[in-house]
Amino acid sequence: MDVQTKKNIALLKKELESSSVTDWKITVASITRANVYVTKDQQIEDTLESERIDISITVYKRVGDKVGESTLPIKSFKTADIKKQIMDGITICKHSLNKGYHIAPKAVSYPDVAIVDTKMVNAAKRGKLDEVCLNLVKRLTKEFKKQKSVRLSSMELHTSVHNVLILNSKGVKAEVFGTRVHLEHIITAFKGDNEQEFFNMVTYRRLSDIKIKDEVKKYSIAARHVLESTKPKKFSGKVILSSDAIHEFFTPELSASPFIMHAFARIKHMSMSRYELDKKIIPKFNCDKLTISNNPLLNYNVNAMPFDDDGVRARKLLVIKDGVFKNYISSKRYADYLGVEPTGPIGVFEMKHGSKTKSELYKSKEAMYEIVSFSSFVPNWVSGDFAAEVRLGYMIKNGKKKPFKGGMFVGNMFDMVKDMWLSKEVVKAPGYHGPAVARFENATVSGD
Amino acid sequence: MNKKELDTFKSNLSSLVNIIFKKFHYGDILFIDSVEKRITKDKESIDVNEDSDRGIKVRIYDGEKFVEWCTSNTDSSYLKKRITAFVNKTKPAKSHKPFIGASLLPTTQVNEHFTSTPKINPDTIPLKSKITKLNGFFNTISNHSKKIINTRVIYLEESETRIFATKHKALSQSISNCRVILMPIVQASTGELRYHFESFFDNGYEATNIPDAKLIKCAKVTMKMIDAKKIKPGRYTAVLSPEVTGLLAHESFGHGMEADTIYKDRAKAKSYLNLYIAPKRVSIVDNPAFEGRNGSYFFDDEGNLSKPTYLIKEGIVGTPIADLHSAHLLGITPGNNGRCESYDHKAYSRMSNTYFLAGKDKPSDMVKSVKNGIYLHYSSGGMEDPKGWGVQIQGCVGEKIKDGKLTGEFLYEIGISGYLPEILANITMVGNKLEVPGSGRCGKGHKEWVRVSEGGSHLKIEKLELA
Repeated sequence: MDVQTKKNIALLKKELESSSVTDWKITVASITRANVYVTKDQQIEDTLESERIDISITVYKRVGDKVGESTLPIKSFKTADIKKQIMDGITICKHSLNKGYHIAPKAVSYPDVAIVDTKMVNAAKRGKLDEVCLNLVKRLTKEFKKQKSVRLSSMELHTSVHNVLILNSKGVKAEVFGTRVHLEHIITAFKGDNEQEFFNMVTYRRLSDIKIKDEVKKYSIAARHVLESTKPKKFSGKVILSSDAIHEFFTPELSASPFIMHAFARIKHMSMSRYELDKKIIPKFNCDKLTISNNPLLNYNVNAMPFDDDGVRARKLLVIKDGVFKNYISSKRYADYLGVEPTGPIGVFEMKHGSKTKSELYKSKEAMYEIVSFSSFVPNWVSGDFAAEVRLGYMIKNGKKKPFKGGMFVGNMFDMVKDMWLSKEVVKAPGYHGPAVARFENATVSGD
Repeated sequence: MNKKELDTFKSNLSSLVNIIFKKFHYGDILFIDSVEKRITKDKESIDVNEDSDRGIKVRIYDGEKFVEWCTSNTDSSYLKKRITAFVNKTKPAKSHKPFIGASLLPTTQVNEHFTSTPKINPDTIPLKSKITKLNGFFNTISNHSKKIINTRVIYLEESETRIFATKHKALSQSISNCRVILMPIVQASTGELRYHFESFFDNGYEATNIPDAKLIKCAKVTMKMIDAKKIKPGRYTAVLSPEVTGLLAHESFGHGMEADTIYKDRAKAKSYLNLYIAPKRVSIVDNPAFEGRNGSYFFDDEGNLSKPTYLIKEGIVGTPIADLHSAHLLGITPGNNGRCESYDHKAYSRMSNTYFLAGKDKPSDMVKSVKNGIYLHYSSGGMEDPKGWGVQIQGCVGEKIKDGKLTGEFLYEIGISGYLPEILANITMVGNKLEVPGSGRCGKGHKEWVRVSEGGSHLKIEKLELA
């Protein structure tokens, strides 16, 4: 952290300590970025480097047994402006009093979770993060050029080094460096005049997490299969989720996992949770039962983190065991409301393996559908309903696979896991650690 | 930022941008200062928070590509030092091609400021009054029925100032808007929880002037979710409300007309430019100059003044919406659709307010003309497929139409899919009243969020694939 930022934080602390707030928190988030944007013919169309520091204060004001809380950004470090911001925060607190709670106390220690690519951090310190990014882009484009009947239509690589510091009036001082590598690419497969594309995006912690050969090969094949694909016929029966589709289902990108959301203490507090402690999450499981943990301690996973936004220490938490809800995921405030322990940050969705091998799941006398990728899986996290278009799937009959694209996988997530088998084999993906394959015994894909 | 501060800052940026022009033929600076204030109320709590985003982006066109540097530090002396270093570090490309942006630079100084004018400036309303109003919304909806388990009421105030500077040009705009989102929650007869949501948008605090009748209507529609069923997948005659029509325009066509997508050969629309794709009754426009909508702005993030673009004009595919670089690469006239999520994000070709133009049919006649079908009320969003022209709109709430009348029988979580040209060809009626109610954010894939709106008139579409 640079000298000026340290001075600014010290000034903020001083003003907060001398104010009439009951408690306070300072959050400092800094990000150094280097991005490369590649357009068609593998030409670089843009490079971007940035430095960002965002500082905010959260003030708490207790009035009787109630507490008001307000978070405000700090853009000016003139003493008069800081004092005004604090006073504004106190005014907001007085108008938005809620049931009382306490802020996070000082942690004894934080777990040692590895979330940093030291090569990226060192490069950023030398002002050379852009070179590291460009180097990886060159290696990726070189690998794509080797593929037949596909071309790279577009690619973006975003690398970032970030630092988070949380301080509070109870002595919390939590700081961590982390790195992220975000890769997006669009591959177009072609044959004669026909073309189809396949879009993929993924975020890792380290440059070396991108297995270049495997990544390029996997998605080039996917693009070729999309080119060969037909539209599906309407289908009801066994549907397999594998590859990207299984973790898109359990950890959707643009929505929250309903299985996790209903475990939040905040959601329970709002009377929006369908879970009850020590009760089954659905009336009956006919196949494998769900066992799900929240795990922020998996080294180098993109969702790993040693503490949450309050500075509460991270820990692995068993959320659902054999279909029974066991523990709320909770920030400090809602933990106080529900009378449970705070659980730290939301981490990796970890699901226990199932009872059947992959080969057992793929064996069936009836025709099955397999979905490997969704165009966009966005379930309704409240109800669990979804209707998601299939980006790439396969119709499986007599051991043969025929690709399809389109149609919609429809249903309700809570309803469908009642008849779901999970593979014994597990995979690790960003944000997900669980079975490689799921098979739903009674599922629907809409089509012609 | 008051006017004096704005003018001083603008003047600073104008002199800073000249550093770029000593070495390069084109460069620009964009400053963004945005603030979002949020009040969230439900039966258990009330929370008030504020977030902001402030920084500068400096761009140099090196002869082949843009090279960008961004910072959250807006101190003048710091910027001068760092921009000088950035210009010195950046090397001109070996093959220097004339850049369209350079050819459009004015020859005499252009300095303008634009501002949106809310009827009621939210800064003049005390926080206590805002909270009282939200409490009122909460109580009116929640008291409608005990079956409403909770109601989330969200109030958002967004205000932003953007300054764009290049050689001989300094533009600034201040835009504000307010939004109220109502989200009552009920327990369905099948046991799971469901919600309904409605949003109200305007330039200022007038967005909160929501009559009780509308609040009660919101509660009543929520009650319909209790017994709402899932649709049986199939093809239906559907009447789309302006909300859903807007999503069709936005997701299924608009994204495919973004010039950066077209340049990358990722858009099927490229092969249809200036050709018929829909009946003559169909026109789709993207218009950032449409006053007072969520996607409105006076100039884009590359300093181009707003004007409408016909994406489809009377059935014929029109003009792509373009950012500067994509226009340059495609050899077309630059548009006014170069937008970035934040100062430390790249500008892409992005939509603004995208809508079907109104036609001649009365919405009531459209419903009357349907023997068996579905009225689609609203949706939670969709995803683009510019290459395949596939349509994916999810989270729709619908209502059965029977013998020309709305039945009150609701359907939940409907997805719309299909092939766009087929859907457009099956539009048989176009409503006569234009509404552009959308007030959300649009992503490019799963990131790069910009505020947009969408809408249009009601559409009647035959054989629409619903699941």
